[in-house]
Amino acid sequence: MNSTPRDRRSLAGLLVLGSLSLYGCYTVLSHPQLAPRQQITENGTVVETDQCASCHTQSDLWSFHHRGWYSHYNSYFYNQYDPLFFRSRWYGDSYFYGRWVSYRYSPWWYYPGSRTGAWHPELPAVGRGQMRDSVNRVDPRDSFVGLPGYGPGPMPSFPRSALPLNTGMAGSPATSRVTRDSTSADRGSAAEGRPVRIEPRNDAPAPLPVSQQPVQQPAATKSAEKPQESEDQEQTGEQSRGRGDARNRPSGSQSR
Amino acid sequence: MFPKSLTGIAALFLIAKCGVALTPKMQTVKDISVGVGEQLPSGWIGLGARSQAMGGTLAASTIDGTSLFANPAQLTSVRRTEILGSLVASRIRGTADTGNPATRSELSATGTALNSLVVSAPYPVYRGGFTFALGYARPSDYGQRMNRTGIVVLQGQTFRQSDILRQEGGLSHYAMGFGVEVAPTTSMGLSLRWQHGSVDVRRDVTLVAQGMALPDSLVGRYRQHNSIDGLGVVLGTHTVLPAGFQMGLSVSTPTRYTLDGTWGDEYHEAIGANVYHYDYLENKLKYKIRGPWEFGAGLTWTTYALTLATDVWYADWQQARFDGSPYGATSGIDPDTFFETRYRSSLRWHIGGELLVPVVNTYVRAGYWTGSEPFRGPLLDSGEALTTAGPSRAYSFGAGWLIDRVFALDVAVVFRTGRMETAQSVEKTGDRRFSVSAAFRM
Repeated sequence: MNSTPRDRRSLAGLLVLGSLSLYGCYTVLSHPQLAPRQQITENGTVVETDQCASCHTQSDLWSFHHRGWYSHYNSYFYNQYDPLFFRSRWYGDSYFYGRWVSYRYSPWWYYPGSRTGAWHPELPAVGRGQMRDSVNRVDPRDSFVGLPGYGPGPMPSFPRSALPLNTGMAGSPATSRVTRDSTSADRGSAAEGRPVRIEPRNDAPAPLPVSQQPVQQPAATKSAEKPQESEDQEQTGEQSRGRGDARNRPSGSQSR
Repeated sequence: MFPKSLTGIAALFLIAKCGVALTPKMQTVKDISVGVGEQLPSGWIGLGARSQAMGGTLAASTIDGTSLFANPAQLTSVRRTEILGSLVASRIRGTADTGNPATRSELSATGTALNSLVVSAPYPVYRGGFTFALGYARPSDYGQRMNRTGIVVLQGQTFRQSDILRQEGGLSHYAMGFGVEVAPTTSMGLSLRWQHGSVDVRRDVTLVAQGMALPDSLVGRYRQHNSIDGLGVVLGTHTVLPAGFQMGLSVSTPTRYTLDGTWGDEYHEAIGANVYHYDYLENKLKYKIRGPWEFGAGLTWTTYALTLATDVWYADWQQARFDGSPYGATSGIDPDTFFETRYRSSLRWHIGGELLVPVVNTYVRAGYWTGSEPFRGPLLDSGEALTTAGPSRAYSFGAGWLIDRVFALDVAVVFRTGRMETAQSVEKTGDRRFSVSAAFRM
């Protein structure tokens, strides 16, 4: 290809223009570093959230995915039934959700959602070539399938706890309460006096952001609303099976 | 140049794209081109089976790697590493009603070509979306067959004509680019697109004068080959609007085409008791064309199982310019006004939709598009066009399935028709294309 100086100037101009247009754009490739001594406790609780609030909002704690059938203005998550076809369950496994959403909308760096609504690695027994979404399956028709586009994204630069951050804004999820860790103080640990976050039960899935709560909660998700007993468990080092699994993995190991 | 009795033959042959030598009686037929304009943008067929089944909508409804070529902003909708390939099997058919009384002749051909092969790789992001893509596509081809057989009157002389046109080739697009989300509901994209391809034109003409004891005749053949290269950039945006709407905008910068070709003809005349043979004489041409800006806009509405989409694509080919004209000073052709007088703006409308049928989990799709070709054909001094080309119309249908959650299979069938009138002939094209796309997402 022969290119004239004018061609090259035009191309360079376009590239510069494109680069400028992307400066400060919405997409975040990796989470900003937080200084642990100042802003988080040793167990990952964020105690100073001003910087978080500059990026995160109440309705946008996690990655917002660019998809046609979901927006801030029109969330079909709230519509469980498709009125066009015999009130079939739009999000049932035999219709759309479980089959197509994973293909179209779930990023590869997320773990597929389980049927309980929690985020954890796909069950080993469910691999390629096996029945996962067959219309002949009996149980998945009325079960809840994990929401797409909801998850932590690439790993932040340090381990953090599983639940949405308390941004300090009005209406923040109550699951991110900050309180005193009397257990640690009694033991005289290095975390004495530092606030820590109360975790839900390890076997309970993490609740969804308010804007993405499905209408029909699965039984397991509802269990997360029971009184928490995690104050005694948070130092045990037990691995949670919920979304925290993905978020607490070392950086760079999040791929499937 | 030509014997008087064969001026009509010469004229016809010139219309068949020869172009330089004009007989005295045909001085009014100015500057028959060598087919420059006809060889660039014609024969649009679409990208990918899903889009083709939905009437060729691309600007706001693409959800796979084919958006690299039409609106790279939509690459952000690809959330998993994807390998997509499409194959098109086509049957092209040309029907001509020629002469008085009109005689209908038909010629058809089949072909199979790779329509697209794209690899899309989303980069893991904490928020938003960022997807690279690299691929190949062939959204248009030059396949054409036409057989004009019948009794024609040229310059007052009656001839039996056999005029067979075969056109082959395509313009492949190689592109690399990316899409990035710049707001929760808006993404932008850019791709660098290199076009490379070739076109071969063969035209075989036989004319035999009627009503003569020893009829005059001409048997000639015309050959043309062009290699085409072009470089351009595609910019796009995609926005999610309220109430399930999406909007896409795409702008293609003027592509600079370099054409390097040869053309020539060979003919054999029988005039009275004499026979003349003219050997094949090959001519070489090399020149450049700066194409026009191309704009695309699309709107998509999605609700549950139903998606409706519409596109409009516009390019004003009167703004195209030569950069090194193929016509010499003695040709009588003004390269500065060449495109102004022989080209027009082209507009394509697309509309289509898809519906997910529950239980069987099958997408069914249908669509329609119509568009006009930019090349108007040669003109008389009066400005009257010798050729009147009607718009192309296409109806499409298709289906799509997802297999094992990682493998998508789409099929489409497109019926396209076109109509063109030249002098005493009415030519109709009817193409039927079957497309299959397979996409694997890891």
